[in-house]
Amino acid sequence: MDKRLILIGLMIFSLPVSGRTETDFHGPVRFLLFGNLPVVFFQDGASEVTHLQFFIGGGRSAEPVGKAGLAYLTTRLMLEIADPDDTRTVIESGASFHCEVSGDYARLSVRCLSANLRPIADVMARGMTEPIFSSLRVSFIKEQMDSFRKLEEESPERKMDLFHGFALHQGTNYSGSVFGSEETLKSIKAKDVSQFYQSRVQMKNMVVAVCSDRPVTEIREILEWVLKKLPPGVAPERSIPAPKPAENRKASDVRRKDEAYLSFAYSLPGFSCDAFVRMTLLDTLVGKGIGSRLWPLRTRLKLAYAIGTRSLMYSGGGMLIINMKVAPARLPEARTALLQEMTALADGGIGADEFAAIKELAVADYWRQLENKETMADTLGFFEIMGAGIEFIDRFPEVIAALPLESFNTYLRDILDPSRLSEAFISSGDGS
Amino acid sequence: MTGECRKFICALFTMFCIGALFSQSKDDFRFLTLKNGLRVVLQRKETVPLAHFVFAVGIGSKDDGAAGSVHLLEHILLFGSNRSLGPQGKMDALRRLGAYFNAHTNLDYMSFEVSVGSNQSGKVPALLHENIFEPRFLEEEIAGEKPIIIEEIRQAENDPRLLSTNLLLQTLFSGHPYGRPLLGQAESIGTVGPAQLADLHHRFFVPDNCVLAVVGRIDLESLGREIETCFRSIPAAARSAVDAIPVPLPGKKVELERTMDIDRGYLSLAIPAPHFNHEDRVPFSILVQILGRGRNPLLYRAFLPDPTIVDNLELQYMSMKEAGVLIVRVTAAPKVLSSLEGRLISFLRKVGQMNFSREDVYGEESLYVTDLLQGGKNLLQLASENSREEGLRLANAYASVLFLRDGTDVVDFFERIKKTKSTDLRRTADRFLSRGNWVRLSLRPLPEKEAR
Repeated sequence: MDKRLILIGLMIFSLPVSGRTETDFHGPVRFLLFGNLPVVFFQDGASEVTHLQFFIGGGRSAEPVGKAGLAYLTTRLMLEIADPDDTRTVIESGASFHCEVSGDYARLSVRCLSANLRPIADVMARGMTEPIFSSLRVSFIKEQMDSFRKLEEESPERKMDLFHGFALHQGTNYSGSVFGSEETLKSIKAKDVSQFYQSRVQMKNMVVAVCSDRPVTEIREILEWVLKKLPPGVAPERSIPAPKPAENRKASDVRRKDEAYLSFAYSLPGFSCDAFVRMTLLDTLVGKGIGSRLWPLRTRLKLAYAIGTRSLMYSGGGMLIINMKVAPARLPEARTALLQEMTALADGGIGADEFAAIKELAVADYWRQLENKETMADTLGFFEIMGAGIEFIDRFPEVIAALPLESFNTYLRDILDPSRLSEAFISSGDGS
Repeated sequence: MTGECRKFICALFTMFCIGALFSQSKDDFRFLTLKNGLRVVLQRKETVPLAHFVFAVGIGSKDDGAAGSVHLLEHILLFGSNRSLGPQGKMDALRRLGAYFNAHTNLDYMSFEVSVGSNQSGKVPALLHENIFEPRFLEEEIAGEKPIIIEEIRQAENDPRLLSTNLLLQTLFSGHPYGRPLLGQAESIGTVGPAQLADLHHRFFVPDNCVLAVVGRIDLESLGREIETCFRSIPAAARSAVDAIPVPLPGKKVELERTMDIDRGYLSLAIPAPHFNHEDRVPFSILVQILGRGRNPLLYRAFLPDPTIVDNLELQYMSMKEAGVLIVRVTAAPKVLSSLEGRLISFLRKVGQMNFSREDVYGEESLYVTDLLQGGKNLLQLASENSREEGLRLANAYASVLFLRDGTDVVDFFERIKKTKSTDLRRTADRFLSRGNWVRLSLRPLPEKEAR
């Protein structure tokens, strides 16, 4: 047979049964399961993979006083698999489970080949609806959390982040480690876990986010089948934390390694669509990509080897974090240069050309992130649970385009005010 | 379109590594070879309004005469002046486009990545052409970039993971170009000047040693024309012929010891593994998934009854054009490092005798067996599927396969995964994990710290 025919045959037979097609960005859809549970869904045929994520309202801000770490402990316990057959199903499918706890919600997520979605979603849903909170399991996860917290303390970046949390988000559960402290973990008993679980894991306090190549009808049918035991419940009352800046917003630490770190953080307003857009533009202006405001500190002044910015946003407040890795001897010089740059931005704002450029870059970065299906599911769930709704996914570029320069410059002046700044340094042990 | 071209498109559709990943219709895909030899792959991917470009050149650290000159060349092409713009002008132009712009050098090739909104995609070919083919190699800019690279090297020396990978590769491939340091060496970079960079550029940056892959919401016709217009003026020339040198591997185990300012101990093994075109690459890749990934990685069994003695276990499989390597890295308390080594090596030697699937077990017992082979296959498929989601990764995968794959034989990656049996895993494990010709590196804290 002609080799070309074999090749064409191979090509045809390599088409998957699901009829994978690439489509325009049609936007996500929302539907309600059992009349109570919102599901947000985006179909993306780029891969035969499904990301299924459960967002549970509350997160760290729902932890009672003195019980820091309870949200993570409870969420993590829902991922423990009790049945050996289920463990086998998970290993054989290659699926991965993950949990994360943020200021306002906890997230349980799974990634699997779409062909394995039904059994994997079933295993996950059983862990979520019939968890086992035995003392043995609680102790085991607590031990893990202790070692995670120790690892956090070893990371200079994480250590500086934790300080910024205490400095800018005082009076809320946003500050401190998600893994709690030795004392708070000791004070958490199995019954605390049980109570926290019962008050949070219910349809009216949750959002399900899915990004898959499979059609919405199939996803709906699978979710209806696996989530039937989830209690409808009542939506717990949500209060928005009101963080305050601490008086001491400057910290330093010493490490032995021949390297130094410098970190600035500015407190931001709590989540709203407008605040999210402005935060994204600020982050892009200051630290994203070649040509950002911090870029000359690396290229022209040769003050930093690595520069990066990150932004966090919770319902009660947010943070823009700037991290720099510098030569120990040049730490004071780098701090002065960074402060000068930020002061110049606050005082002088930016011009129309730069504003147009950061808008272009912010939108392109936004799409670059959403190309990844896991990030898409995460963003769908985040917008939905934070109250912006999935419609904001499509609207984001329009809202950016409509923002006037004058308004953004006013925002820069307010946000980059020294009263919103927290500074952290880690220097080498030679006294520099 | 020539028959050769058609065959190549088909081959790309069902290609090795990213295999049957590209099941788009022919209307969504184009492969061109310009008259000067430049190979161009274009693929429509419409999920989001972006266009991703990867321009790859067949020059890697293996081609580095003075250790670091190739890395320095990459930095200068990325950040230095071109014919019409200085560094700042370049940065401003890229920012106005909303572009993500970066470059990487590995052992076999160098790649430049640009990602823009699809409305800007028509401007990228000219931008790539100017930056990659019209550099100025100014003395001052080269001198300015050297301290940044030297710092990058210093940082890699302070990072236990990077340091161990570099030392292991240099030792395992000692005497072969793959043994040259990827980032270069501080001393030799100091001696590199404009003439050396221009010479490297002249010898390697020729169209038939380059590949351009574009993936995104693009118009294949008009972008194809734009690319042809921008790049056709580069004269055809063959790259300097470099004879492949056989990769010498150690005949027996080599042991290295280092101390550095760390709190935990790192035990790393570099094990010779199948190269990119080796028949065992697929079974070996599945084996790596079984040993080191997913829920309950098999390699933790080496540390039973107390697998928590290990803080972290990492497996990294690198398959290059002429050689492959598996790096196994364990992080643990320094005092237990020596005992872990024996357990790890003894376990790896036994992998070739293990059962991986239900078919290996007879009767009722098979009902209670975890099918590790199936798990490994699914993990590998998941990894391949993920690389299709992001256009930039997909474009990189095209470029990588075009450089690394031998010939144009059609090999369906997923088909090979499906056909792999337990016996294939045992055979591969026997070939690669039981020889003992490894390099072992122990990284320990400084003596005073370990004593504490």
